[in-house]
Amino acid sequence: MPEFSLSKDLVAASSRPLVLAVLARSDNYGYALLREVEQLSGGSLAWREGMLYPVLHRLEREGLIESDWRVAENRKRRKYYAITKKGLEALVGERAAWEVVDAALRTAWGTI
Amino acid sequence: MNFDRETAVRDWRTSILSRGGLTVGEVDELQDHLEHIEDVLQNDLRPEEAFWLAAHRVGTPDALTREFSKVRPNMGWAVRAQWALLGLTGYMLIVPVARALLYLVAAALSQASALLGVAALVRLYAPALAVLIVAVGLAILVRRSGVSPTVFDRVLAAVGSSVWLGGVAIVIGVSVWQVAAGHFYRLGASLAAKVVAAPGEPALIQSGFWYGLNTALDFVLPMLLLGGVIAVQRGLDAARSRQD
Repeated sequence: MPEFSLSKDLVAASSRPLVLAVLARSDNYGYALLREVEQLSGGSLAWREGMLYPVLHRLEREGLIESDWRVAENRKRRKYYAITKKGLEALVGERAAWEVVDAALRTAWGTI
Repeated sequence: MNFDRETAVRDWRTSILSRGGLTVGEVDELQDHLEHIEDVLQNDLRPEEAFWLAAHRVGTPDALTREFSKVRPNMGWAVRAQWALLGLTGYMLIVPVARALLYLVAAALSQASALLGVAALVRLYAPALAVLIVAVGLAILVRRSGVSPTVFDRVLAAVGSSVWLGGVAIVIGVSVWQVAAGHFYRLGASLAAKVVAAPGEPALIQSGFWYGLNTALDFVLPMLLLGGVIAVQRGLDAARSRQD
């Protein structure tokens, strides 16, 4: 694979559908969520760790996800996020939008 | 020097919280994240290196504050305003008691005829002294306990999590307290006035000017203290951001 790095804008734009998609699979907490995104992208979507949380808080404020503190195995409190009904609806929209972009790009690539 | 992880974590938390952009809950969450990274790094690095690398990965306090402020631009001011309100509430709650206690001290001192002058001074300056004692006492308490301001922040967070309930509880609580403290305060004052004989009071401090100054100090001192605290906090923020 050629060397490349995703632009800041692209990382920011894709963070939204990615977080929603990962949470649609199961409730999760920040660290594990980040690792899952990393795995999904084969490591090329490496977010600055702390920057995940403002994204989560924004999604929460929009009512797309919700959070609650649960007690983890080491008896520590850990904040878990879950997708809401509104979030699932938003994810459908996000998916449609990204598929449009993907389809357009694929067609474009095909003509080069 | 040995690496003291507890201190390092506390300093790390404080340096984020003092910038005023994040709540305690958010820093708790980041700390959980930090510890995950530390765990992964633990095998290959010494604890100190693991901590600093983990902290670096989570993000510098400035970067975190910047990112969070994009989501919530006025948080910094909100936190400062909360601090100011918390300070005022604390002042309202503790000062009347300190004042009443000072009156009792004045009454006790007046039992010794040699200390009658001192007793009169304590009685006269009880309001201003009470503010100073409470302020210095709180400052020492916070320093000595080493818990950092996060404890107060937790109080704020607890109130903030149920704004209306917390607000109503505070208003009722403070009102009840003020009435109770007022009684206590008057009791102490009247007792002191009864026991501290007038002849012991130097003529100078009985003059209207000194009483006036005393009353003015009562209002000005807490305001100055509050302003001082905010100025110091801003100065620290500025110094830290220059360091980073």
